[in-house]
Amino acid sequence: MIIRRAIERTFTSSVFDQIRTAADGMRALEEFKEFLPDVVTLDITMPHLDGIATLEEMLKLNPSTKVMIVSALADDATAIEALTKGADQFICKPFTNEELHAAVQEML
Amino acid sequence: MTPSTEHTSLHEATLAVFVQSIMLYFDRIAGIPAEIGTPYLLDGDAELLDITAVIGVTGDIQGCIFFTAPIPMLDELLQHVGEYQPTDELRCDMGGEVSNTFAGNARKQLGPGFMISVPVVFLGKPEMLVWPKNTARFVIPIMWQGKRSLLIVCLGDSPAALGVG
Repeated sequence: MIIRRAIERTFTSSVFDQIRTAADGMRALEEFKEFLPDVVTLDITMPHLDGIATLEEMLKLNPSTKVMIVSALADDATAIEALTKGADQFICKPFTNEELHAAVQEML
Repeated sequence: MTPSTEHTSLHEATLAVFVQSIMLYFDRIAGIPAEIGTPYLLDGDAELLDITAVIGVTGDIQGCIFFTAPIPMLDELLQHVGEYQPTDELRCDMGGEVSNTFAGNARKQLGPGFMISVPVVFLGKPEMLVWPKNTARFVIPIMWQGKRSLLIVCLGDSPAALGVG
């Protein structure tokens, strides 16, 4: 929740017109179908449906969506898997607001 | 190397990985380094503070990791992530986030076979806490801004079960 709220605070009205958040992968997919966002940030370690599975489902629905994975999983294999499966960016926690902002700008 | 020496070295190496994760976390989130106390082997029940987050570990290494912290430390961390009106829900979320980051960052050295669960967080002491069997329990004391929290690392090579109630 605190990471979602931090992302929301960082980008509301500065980069994106509208932001929606979801607590887990299943809810994120429901929001995705209704909202069809241009950009998604996704954690990997989530209840019900993890971030990699959520990423794959989202890209099936809209392959042009830009997806940034935000995760504490710091091993190279996880980042490579996420990028291979279609993520555009991977940022490892812990990060500063400035690093988050830079990562999103680089992706856009 | 005798089996016992081998195991001690394994534990030392794993603890060093977690110490690195802890140091990185406080430095990046707050720009204020944490001080790490001498890790010790726990014999008996662990001291649990106001809020405790537990991460289950499966894969190459098995067991669990506890992060237990006092409310004032979590409130101060919350301020560093932009939350100035702490609630118990936010404090629990902060505890879960810290534990997830410590454990997730450990995969940089321990690899993807170190598989971690979503954190389970509880406020106060649970009525029942059954520690995993077949694992040594090491405590890493963390001092930060005059407040003390603990990372309890219970990891072994064989399946371990944890009960919290």
